[in-house]
Parts: sequence; C-alpha cells; structure tokens
Amino acid sequence: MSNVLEVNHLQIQFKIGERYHEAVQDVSFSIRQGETLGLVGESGCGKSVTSLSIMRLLAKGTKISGEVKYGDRDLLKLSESQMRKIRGNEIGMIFQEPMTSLNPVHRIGRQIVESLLLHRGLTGKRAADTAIEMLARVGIPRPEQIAQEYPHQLSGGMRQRVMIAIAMACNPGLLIADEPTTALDVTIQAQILDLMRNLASEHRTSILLITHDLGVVAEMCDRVAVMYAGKIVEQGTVRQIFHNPQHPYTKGLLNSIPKITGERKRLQPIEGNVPSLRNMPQGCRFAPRCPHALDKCRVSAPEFFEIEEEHKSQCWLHA
Amino acid sequence: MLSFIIRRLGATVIVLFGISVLTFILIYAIPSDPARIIAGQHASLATIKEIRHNLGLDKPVPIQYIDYMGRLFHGNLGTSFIYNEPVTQLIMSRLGATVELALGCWIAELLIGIPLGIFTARRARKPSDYVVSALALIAMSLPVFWLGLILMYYFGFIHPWFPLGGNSGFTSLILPSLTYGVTGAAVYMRLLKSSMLEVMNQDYIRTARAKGAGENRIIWRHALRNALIPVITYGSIDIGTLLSGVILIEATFNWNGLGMLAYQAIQQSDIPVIMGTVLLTAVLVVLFNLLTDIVYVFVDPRIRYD
Ligand SMILES: Nc1ncnc2c1ncn2[C@@H]1O[C@H](COP(=O)(O)OP(=O)(O)OP(=O)(O)O)[C@@H](O)[C@H]1O
Ligand code: SF4
Ligand SMILES: [Mg+2]
Repeated sequence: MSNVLEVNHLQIQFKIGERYHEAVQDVSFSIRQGETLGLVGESGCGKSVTSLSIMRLLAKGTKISGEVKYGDRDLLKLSESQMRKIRGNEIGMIFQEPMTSLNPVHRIGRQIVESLLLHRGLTGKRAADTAIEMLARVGIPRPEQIAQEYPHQLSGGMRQRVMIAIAMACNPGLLIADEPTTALDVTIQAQILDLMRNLASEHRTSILLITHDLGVVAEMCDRVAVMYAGKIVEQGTVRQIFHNPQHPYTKGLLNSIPKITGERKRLQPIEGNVPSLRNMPQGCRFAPRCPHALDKCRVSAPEFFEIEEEHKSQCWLHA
Repeated sequence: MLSFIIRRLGATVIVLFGISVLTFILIYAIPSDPARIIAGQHASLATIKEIRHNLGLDKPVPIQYIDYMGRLFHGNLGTSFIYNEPVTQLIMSRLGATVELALGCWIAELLIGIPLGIFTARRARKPSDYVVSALALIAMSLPVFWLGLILMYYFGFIHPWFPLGGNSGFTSLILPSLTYGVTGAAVYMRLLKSSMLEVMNQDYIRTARAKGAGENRIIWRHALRNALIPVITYGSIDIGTLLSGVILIEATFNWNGLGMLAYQAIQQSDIPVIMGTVLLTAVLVVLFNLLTDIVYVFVDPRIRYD
C-alpha cells in the first residue's frame, strides 16, 4: 500500500540564545493510506515539534532538514503559498488545547466556513450549509444553532468536535492529532476517539496520532513509533510493541501503565527525567536512565536493529 | 444590556453627586476671595462686602452648597464672576469648537497610531520596527507648542495651505489635529503592538495557520479584533479627556475651546466656571466609560452584562 506521508531523517534545531539546539534528530517514519500511526513518548520528547514541522508551522528561524514527503512532494521544499494550499486542505490538524484553539471573537460556523472558503472557494449559503453539515457529522446536536454561537458557549468536548470539523472540512488525506483528548475527561475522550476513528475510516483518512497515553495507542493505532529525547527509539505494529517490546524505554513505558486486568502490579514510572535540549547525553540518549546501560552506550549512539519485519529498535542490547 | 445601561446611568448620578461635593469642598479650601478679584485692587471694603452679599458668599458654607445644588438641578451652573454670563452659556458657546478639535485630534492619533502598531508588530525586532519605534518615541516627547509652531510655519506661512490658527472650519482643524496626533499616536502604537504580539502567540492563531490562512488574513481577520481591547480602553479615556479641552493645542493654535476657558477660570478664581468645567469633564469621563463597556460587547462576544 502506498505511503501518504514519509518523513526521512528529519532534524529540527531551535535557536536558544546564540546557539542552535537539536530538538529532533534523524526521525524517520511513514504512514500508509487509511492507517493510524501512534507517536508516543514522555512530555518534551519532541512530538509536537515533529508534527508542527510537517505542517511547517514552527517559528521562523527554526532549522529543519531532512525530507517530509506528502505523496510525491517534499513539503520542506514548497513555497509558503504552496504550503498554504496543503494546510487545512490536504493535511488537517487538531491540537491539545480545545479551550483556546478556536478564535473567541468568531462564530463557530464562520470558523468552519473559513477552511471551505480558502480551499474550496465556497461562500455564502453553500458554505454555511456545508459548515452545518460538518457540525452534524462530528456529532454536534442542533448544528444550525451551534453554528451561530461563539466558542466560549461550548464545552471542551464540543470545542474539540468543532476543531475536528474544521480539520476534516476539506476531506484531508492526513489528519494530525496532537494529543486530541489529553485535556478532556475520560468519557468525552472515548467519544472523541470514536469520532476520529469513524470519520477516518469513512474517508480512508490516515492519522498521525500523538499521545503519551498507551491506552489510546492500543485502541486507535495500527503502528507505533516510540520517541525519546528527540529520536524514535522503537517502531513496530501495535501488536509487536505491546507484546514484544524491545527497547528498554518502551518496556519502561509499558510498565508504567496501570493494568486493570490480571494481577495488580505496582506502577513503575521510569526514574529520572528527559534530558534538556542543552545537555543531551553523548551516545545513547536514554543511557542515564537505562537499567541495562553498558559502557558502550555512554560513548556511541546505537543504530536501528531490525527485530522482525516492520519492527526495529535502537539499542545496543540487540547487537 | 438595557438594564445594564440603566444601572450604570444610576451609578453615574451618584458619581456626579460625589464629584460636585468634592469640587465644592476643594474650592472652599483654596484661600482666595472672588469678591476681591471681581472688585479689583482698589475697591473699598463696603463694595467688597456688597459683592460678597450679592454672590451669596456671606452665607454659611452648607447653605451655599444647598443653593448651589438647587441651581444645579435646574441646569443652572451659576454665573461667571468674570464674564458675568451664565456658565452654561459660556460652556455651550465653547463646546462646539472643543468637540471638533477633540475629534480631530483623536482621529489623527488613531490614524497614525493604529497602522503603525500593526506595522511594528508585523516587523517586530526587525530594523524597520526599531526605526519606527524610535521615531515614535521622539515624536511623543516633542513639545506640542513647538511642533505646532513648526507646522504652522511650514504649512501656514511658507506654504499658506492652512490658516495660521483660529477655528474657522475644516482646514483650520488639520494642523492642530496633526500636531496632537503626532505626539499622541505613540501610545496607541505601543499598546496595539504589544497586544498584537501577545495575540499572535495564541493557540487560535496557530489554528488559523493550520487552516491555510495567509499572513494578511491572520492579521486582519484573526488577530486585530482580539488585539483591540486595550486600545479601546485607552481610546475612550483619551477622547473623554480631549473633550474636556486640549489646553496646549488651544493655546498654540489660538483655538477658543473649553481648555482655554477652564485655564483662564483657574487663573482668575472664577469659581462657577471652574466647577462647571470640572463637572462637565466628570460627566464626559463617566459617559465614555459607559460607552466603552458597550463597545466591548461588540468586539468581544465573551463579554456580557446580564
Ligand atoms: N520554539 C521553541 N524554541 C525552543 N525550544 C523549543 C521550542 N518548541 C519546543 N521546544 C523544545 O523542544 C522540545 C520538544 O518539545 P515538544 O513540544 O515537541 O514536546 P512534546 O513531546 O510535544 O511534549 P508534550 O507531551 O509536553 O506536548 C522541548 O524540550 C521543548 O522545550
Ligand atoms: S543502548 Fe544502552 S543505554 Fe541505550 S537503551 Fe540500549 S541498553 Fe539502554
Ligand atoms: Mg506536545
């Protein structure tokens, strides 16, 4: 099956003070049509930065290199105006903060109409009708009325539905969802995930789902990329990652989720913190926290080792 | 909304009452005798006494206050000691000129300040931002009378495009407004710039970008309206103050407005005129505050007063 998105050797550097610091290093992954890829990792590991770089939404002055291929185009090489035709049209995006992601002074309907206007040239009644249709599709009751309301009149869950309506208004090939449910309470979380899954399967939309919740990954994804300190350390199908995790970091993450079924195990969060951009460890970036670290790990960074088809892990233990 | 306006107007009456008490007390705290001023240096004691009696200044202070309030309720602000004309009439005769000048100055400030605010926000931390910001700072600290005279010299005298002072229709309004606009615009510029920069970092701006909106659309459709709130607050205080008279501009351009009236009244201890202009200022400030609160509702749908 063809790849909708292919990220190759992505590297992102931020200017902090006078120097550039690497937030993402040599990240490669791909998403096939209709597939959901989970990107997981602790806070600060570079998930949002990676997703924003695909949309080229990072602040000017950020150095990005590598390749972000959407179909046969390298998004990093497009002009700003070509890129605008992709944003919201071929790639839709939803964010972690439903409470602040909608413009407080514009009516809901108008915020959806804007995408239709920008990419489909729809105006007036046809655009308004399509917006109402979108609201109905994302499960908003009384869509005609809600279209006339302002964001502050809606709950967080409703606002996230509106964000999904905006992101899906032009039937994008790829939906990037950056922790879409983190800010919502559990029952609403499940509804939003259901909604995304249904919409995506209806239109064969691929999803890049960013989360730090492995429960969400298990429920939603086909494949998983585990990120640590700006690098992908393990990649595989959901089955491979959950049943046969290879990288010590992945194992640590899996140990830290509470198990509801079976015997009760104590929660084991991984000790220590994600290193900051300013002092990345030499060698394997996980070494300071790794229970299996070898001498070699502290001096040289491991490459990927193929575990089986589709499954690879970046750790010296596999050597 | 309507009930909010009614409640606010009710509160306004209380505020005005307080202000009338305050000005009254303040004036009695000033050790100057209006009767002596009216009568002149060489008047006899008897004359002064008679004047005091005619003005009611020999009555006890509380009675004077009650008299004053009684007249106030009938729209009578008293009679000027100096002009010997009703204060209401004096104020009314100057009000038109002052409203013209105030609006002219205000619009000039907005027309210069708001575009520059948007410009410097878009070019933040680029050379053009630094240049414009520095120039604005210089303009802000220019003395009004000096700038006014320079403008009059070049655009009234060397090139006689505009009249050299006085209020005589639209052309006479240009130079005073421009003078005030140039010196006052920097505040608007800086307010809008910092507010714009803050708004541009908001999540909903990122959403607009993710939709594919271009930079112009983001500035004009998404950022500006959100960024205008602090500008509206300052703008309403500003126009309220301008309407009570722009003394420096009036003096420089020989513009016969309320500012000059109040200024002369203070110099001459013309108590009824002082009280009248102070009261008018208070009414304007309170009314413009109310107007601002109403404008907020149209700019920011989150604001409701029920
Ligand atoms: N504009 C920026 N300038 C400098 N550093 C940045 C910038 N944006 C992000 N970073 C840094 O890059 C790293 C990755 O941040 P990112 O937001 O991608 O993390 P994340 O994985 O999305 O975390 P979270 O789960 O908290 O959302 C962090 O160390 C962050 O401090
Ligand atoms: S390479 Fe070494 S330090 Fe890194 S995860 Fe593997 S064992 Fe641990
Ligand atoms: Mg994030």
